[in-house]
Amino acid sequence: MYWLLGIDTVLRIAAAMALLFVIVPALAWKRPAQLGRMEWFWWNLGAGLTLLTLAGQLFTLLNIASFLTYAILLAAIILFCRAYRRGMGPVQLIAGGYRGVILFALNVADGRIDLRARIETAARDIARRISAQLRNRSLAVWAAIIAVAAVTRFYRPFATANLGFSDTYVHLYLMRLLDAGRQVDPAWGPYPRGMHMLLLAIERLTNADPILLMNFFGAFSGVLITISVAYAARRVTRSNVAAFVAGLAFATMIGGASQYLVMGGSISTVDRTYARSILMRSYAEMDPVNMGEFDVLFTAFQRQTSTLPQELAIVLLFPAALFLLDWFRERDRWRLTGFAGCTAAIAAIHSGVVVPLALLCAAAAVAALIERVTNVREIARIALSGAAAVALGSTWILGFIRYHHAGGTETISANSHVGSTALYYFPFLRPFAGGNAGEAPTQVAYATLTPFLIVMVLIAVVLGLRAARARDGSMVWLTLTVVIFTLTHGASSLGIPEIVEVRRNVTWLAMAVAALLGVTISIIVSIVIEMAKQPRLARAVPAVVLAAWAFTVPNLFGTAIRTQLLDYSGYGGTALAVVRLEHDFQPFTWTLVTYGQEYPMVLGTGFHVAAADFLDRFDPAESPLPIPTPLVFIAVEKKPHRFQINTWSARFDRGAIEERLQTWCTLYRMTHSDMGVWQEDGNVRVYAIRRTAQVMARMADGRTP
Amino acid sequence: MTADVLGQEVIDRIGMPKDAWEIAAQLEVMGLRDEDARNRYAALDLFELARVIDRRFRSGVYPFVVEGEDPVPHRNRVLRFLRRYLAGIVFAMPMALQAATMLLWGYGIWGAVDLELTQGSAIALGFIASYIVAGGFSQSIVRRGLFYIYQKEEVLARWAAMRGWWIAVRTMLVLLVPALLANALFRILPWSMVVVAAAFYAGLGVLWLNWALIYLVRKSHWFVIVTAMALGAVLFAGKVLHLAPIFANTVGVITADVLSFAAASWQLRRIARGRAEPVNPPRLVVLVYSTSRYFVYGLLFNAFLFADRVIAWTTPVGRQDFPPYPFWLSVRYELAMDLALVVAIVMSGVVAVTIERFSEELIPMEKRTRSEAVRDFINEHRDIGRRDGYWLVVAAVIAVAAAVAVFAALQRVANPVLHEALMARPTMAVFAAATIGYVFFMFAVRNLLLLLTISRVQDAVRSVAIALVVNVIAGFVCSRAFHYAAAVAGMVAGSIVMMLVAGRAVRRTLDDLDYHYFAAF
Repeated sequence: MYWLLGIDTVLRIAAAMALLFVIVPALAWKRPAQLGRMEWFWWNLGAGLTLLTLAGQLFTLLNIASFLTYAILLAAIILFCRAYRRGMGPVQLIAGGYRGVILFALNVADGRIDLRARIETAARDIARRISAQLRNRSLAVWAAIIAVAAVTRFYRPFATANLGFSDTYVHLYLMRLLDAGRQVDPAWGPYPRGMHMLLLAIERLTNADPILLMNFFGAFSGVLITISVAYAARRVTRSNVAAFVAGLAFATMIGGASQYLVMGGSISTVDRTYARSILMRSYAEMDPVNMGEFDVLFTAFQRQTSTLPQELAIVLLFPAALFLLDWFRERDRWRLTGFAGCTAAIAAIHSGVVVPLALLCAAAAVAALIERVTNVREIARIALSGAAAVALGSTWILGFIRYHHAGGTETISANSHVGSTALYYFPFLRPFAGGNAGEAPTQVAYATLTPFLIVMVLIAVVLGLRAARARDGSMVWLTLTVVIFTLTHGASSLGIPEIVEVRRNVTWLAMAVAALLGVTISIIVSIVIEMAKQPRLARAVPAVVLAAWAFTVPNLFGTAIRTQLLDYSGYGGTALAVVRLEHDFQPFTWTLVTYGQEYPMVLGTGFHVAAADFLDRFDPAESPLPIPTPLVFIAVEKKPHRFQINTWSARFDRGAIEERLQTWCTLYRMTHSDMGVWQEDGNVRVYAIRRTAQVMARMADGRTP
Repeated sequence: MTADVLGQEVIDRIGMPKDAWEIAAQLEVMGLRDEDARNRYAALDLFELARVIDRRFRSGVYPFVVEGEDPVPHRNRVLRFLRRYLAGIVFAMPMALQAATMLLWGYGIWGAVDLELTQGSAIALGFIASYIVAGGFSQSIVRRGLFYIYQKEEVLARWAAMRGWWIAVRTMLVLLVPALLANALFRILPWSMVVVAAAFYAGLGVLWLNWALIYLVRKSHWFVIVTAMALGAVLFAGKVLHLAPIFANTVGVITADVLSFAAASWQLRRIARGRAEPVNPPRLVVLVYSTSRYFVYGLLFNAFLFADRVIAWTTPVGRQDFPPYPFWLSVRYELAMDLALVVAIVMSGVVAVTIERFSEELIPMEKRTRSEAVRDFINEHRDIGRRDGYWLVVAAVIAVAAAVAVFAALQRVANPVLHEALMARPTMAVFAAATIGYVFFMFAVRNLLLLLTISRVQDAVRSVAIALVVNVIAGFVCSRAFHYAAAVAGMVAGSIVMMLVAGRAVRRTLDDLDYHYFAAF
């Protein structure tokens, strides 16, 4: 059942994404000749996300976000764009369209138009165009990349109903707040809402289950990131080989022991010597389950399977920088607006990603200067445009006017949520804030500079120098990107300022490395063709490299990776219980008792009681159990999950709570006949208490059943 | 043919012409062209030829006969007013009857006090959907049918009405398919609700179409008869057979469907005097095109009537009953709107009187008026319009007082559930706003009916379309931003806009009434 629901959700999300970023743009505006198909997609994604964020903010402010509102918004976009293109007013366009439809209908009714023949002709035409596209080799390349990325990214959500990172539960809660028209959680303060506004639009347009939407959407971000890597490689070399190698390499960058050589490990500590000693260890000597994010590549992969705003923002990093680079060359308004749209969308989704974007833009400016297609004055001008786009995407900041008690503190300081988050992501800000915020930032994150990375930097330097001589700006940009991100990665170890927190840096470093790998292979292929005059031999190069790479790819379905990847923040069985409850029972007729993090899942459809509160308040001998819903479900973990809710862990040990909960259920079953096991797997048992309408009526009257 | 022979023929056809323009129009009707005027009558064009004929008619060359005015039966003014007033409010009788049985025995035809709220919401959805979808068809059937009846083509009227009815039924049922598919795809409502909604949508849709047929044959008293008999069936099923309320209501709707269709088809057969097939009936396309604007008008008008309810019942903002589904009936809102409808009922009689008088007096007045005295004709109608407006203001005051009185009277009924619902703040607020809204709405309706009387259907459509947009936008934003009950603000705003836009169109039409008179008939 969960599989079917998952497929249903994936289809809904895919349909909504296609509608928002492919179909509506296609209906509204013809693709400009100077933009390729992929560029046009990124343009629409950037502009669309910005527009959806701005519109979503207005809609939720008025609490009018609904299917109707989004449908009107999309129709208005199509209408105004088409009217503008045709040089007429929208009313005139509607009148013309109405007339056309009426005439068509009358002609059909009168038998003047053979609808069947027209449908057959259209079907034949579509089939012909599809078969023509299928002969295009590019399509096969992109299809292979997407398929591999989809398999690796979608595996986690299909394997478990748990949402992955605990942050995703927070984002689900924020979505529930948006549902109720609240853009700000007073306890947290304003936050960038780009991803949430996209999710809201998808939910409203498709009526997708919000829990499943949160579980599956992250994988879409992961696939899109992979596409952007392949796109960057292709954009630099104009070669499908580069795209193919880069895409497949990034799609299979999963982490684990066999890929530990790529990015190495990471540890947060105050002691540099201790860090070095830990990082010198082999993977086998580490404790993957309890050492948090030490396997940075695995963490980067894992994040691409969960719904997190940073990953969605990362999707637009490379396209934004490439739009900028092309603008320096072409001075084309489409590229400029593409850059602005992507930048604004990044700022709207995750402000932290603006920093790597700025680094990428700096690299693009340097590349353009080397290519001698721009000057410093123009760079300053475009920097202002970028800043304006960031401002456009950062309208969520206006929320601070009202909610300036961010994070439960009086002011936005190093100790507030907002302040500490900023200092966590951007360690170079710490000295300005008078030290580290709270306790966690006093630690420094150290990461390994692996031989693999050193080799990639050397390749980047060689290719970069070669490209600089040939004034190939795209190649210079990519090589600079690899060097900058690798330096950021090793900043703590090398003793240079750490601009971005190293573990957050890993994703875009991996993207740049994969793109460079693809580009390098493509160059080798062209060299082999040139030197050996043997296209067949040249074709073998990427195959050999990918085959070699395949040996490093861990078994995603094996126990080692499964243990780390699945049920990271809780057992899937509990989350699955919520999904089933939502689908099987009438809303607000049930109450669920769990350890805690399912609260945002239950909001709006049922009631939730945290296990600790439940044990405090309800006596198993009491009859009837004074919970005013006919159905009560209690999820008991057979083996307590390792994840603890931080704010509670001091008061409530998860293991103790689960043990007490099991005892409570046992005692209840001894004195009541209305309890049974409703769902059970290896980790979780869900008990159900079912009361009849008569019992509930008597309870409402205050009588004992 | 000489010019005088032609002139005599024209005069024989139209009697005493108003001016040369009327003669020119008649010449065109006779198929003459400018070329004919030049070649056969040595005139520059048809207009010059018309002026020649007019001059010769004024100089007494052509003998003529003036058609006498239709005899006006002498009737007591008060009685005539009462008769028209009652005819105007007879449409509200089924509702009043149902309200009475609901209060007395807890049952209406499509509702019951003991109905589960899930089923009640489903019926409400079916009711609204059927009313909106059937609205367009009902308007088309009635307009086309009356068009043929006025032309003494009763057989054609019956044929067009029955064909329209059958197309409507099939279309309404076909529309269920995408609705069910959408529900399967978007999981909007549970299937138990959807099945009930679909069943009542189909049943009530047929009922509205049958009522359109009954209206066409001008046997409005059948509304009351059918309602009474259907209510009897519901009460029998519910009280005697002890069927569940939902099944009792189903019995009621089926009974109403069968009886109303039987009555309508019997009456249609009677007016057609047993002849089944018309000679040379219009093609389907002609039928569709000629009624399409009325269809759109009916669709939009009925959508306007229920837009605020749909908007209010699709938001959880401010609702204490935790609506579990996207569409959830609010009894308080419905109660308030129903009670405010008293205003519309009271005023609708006056509107009916004014419209009927307008259409009755328009033709003889126009016939009496010479073309050079057209300003007098227009001014006279403006005065009549103004006077009718004053009457409507008086009626509005009485209607508001009546609605408040009914509201107050119901508070005295010894029913704690009803009392609680009436005293709730949303009920009172919605009632107050809707009472005012319906006053504006009835002024708007009067303007719309005036436009329809002189075939300015495109102006009517435009007025209703703009008002509907305002209704939806204002209601949607207010109900989501403030409180679900604020959806009524959309109805009030929409009614005001409809009154103003339609009023402007009426003023423009009255300014050129002589032209629109000719264009209409």
